[in-house]
Amino acid sequence: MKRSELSHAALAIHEQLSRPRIPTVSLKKDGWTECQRLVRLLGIAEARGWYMAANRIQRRLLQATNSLREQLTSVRDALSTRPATVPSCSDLHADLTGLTCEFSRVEVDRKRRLLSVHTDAIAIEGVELGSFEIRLYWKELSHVLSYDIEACEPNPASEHAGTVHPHVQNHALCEGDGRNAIRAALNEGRLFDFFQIVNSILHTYNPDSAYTRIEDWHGATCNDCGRTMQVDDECSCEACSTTSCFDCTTGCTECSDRYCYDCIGECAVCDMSACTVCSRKCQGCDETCCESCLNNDNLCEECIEQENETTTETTTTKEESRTPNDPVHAVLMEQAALFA
Amino acid sequence: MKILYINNDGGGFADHIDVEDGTTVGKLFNERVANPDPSAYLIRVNRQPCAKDQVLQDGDRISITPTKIEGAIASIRTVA
Repeated sequence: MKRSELSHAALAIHEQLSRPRIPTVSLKKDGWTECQRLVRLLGIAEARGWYMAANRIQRRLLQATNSLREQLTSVRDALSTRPATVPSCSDLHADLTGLTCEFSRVEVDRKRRLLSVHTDAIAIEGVELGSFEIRLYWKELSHVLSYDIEACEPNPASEHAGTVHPHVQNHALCEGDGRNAIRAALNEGRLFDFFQIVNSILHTYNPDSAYTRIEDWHGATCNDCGRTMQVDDECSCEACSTTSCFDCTTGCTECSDRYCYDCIGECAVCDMSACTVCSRKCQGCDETCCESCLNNDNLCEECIEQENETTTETTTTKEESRTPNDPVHAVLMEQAALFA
Repeated sequence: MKILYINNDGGGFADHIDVEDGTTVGKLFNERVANPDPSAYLIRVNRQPCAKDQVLQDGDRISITPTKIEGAIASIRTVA
């Protein structure tokens, strides 16, 4: 890159950093809605004694609350960031020059107010992810999301086309441990440090907080059989949200929703699969039955028959025990007339 | 003499500090970093790679950046 080009870029960035900064904040409601949904599911799982399902939901809830906290922290950071000393033009020029030594490709697009670098090719645990372009928009240097990541030779996770790295989704980097250092570098206009920190994050893999774990990169693993699934083979259990393959889930005969083995039962009468929403306990024998096998009084076919037999037996016994001199009730007289 | 010391580990602070004349990069690194394994860090003086025994000069800018920074929320590791 030409020296004059770097000088022009340094001047433009300096001009931008010298402007008064107004923090821009945004907060999506999806994170909170997801937490509420999982809390509700956890309550259902605990109430029904589904301990495995509860355990899985608990893990998902932990991730969801952490993600929500991250969003809130971003807003708080943006609001509490103190205005920093603006770096001099010569400091910015030295940063840009330093970047040309650090990275194989550095580009400046003054029209788009964009400074970008290309990382070397990154491979994590044998999965080739290619190189990445880290793009810093100096127009928005004070904004929370003033940079993004573009995969140069994308090899996305099979479950989500926007996940091009375990910690990059839809061009956004999950900064994790680097958050404070990135914020400090951007706030102080230390561009050289900013790109170095982001580059280090892209070269690191943390399986505990990845958008997609590297072992699931070419397809998620079924929670029941452990097989790697294709995207169109994945089914999410309606009760506990666990992901399993199609073969390891069962459709409810009544509502057709699919459930994992832990969250669906069989009707004691017809042996067909029925989910907890579509099944009830028979009031007579206490067996779990599907809605179709219970009458309005929540009795299964067998219990209805038993009840009918008991009623008939009682009537017969009463009739047999009656003596010829007993008075005949008017209603019975009418019934006799009808049967005659 | 005064140098600009930038630690991109954790909070990522930058500060002007006083160091003795003749202080080398290696000496400062050992004094300032809690877990001093140089291979786990990118150490740059005036944005250029440097040798361990390079003597720091007045007004130098030294930055120390971990080569591995986890893209994760720190608390997950403690909770899980």
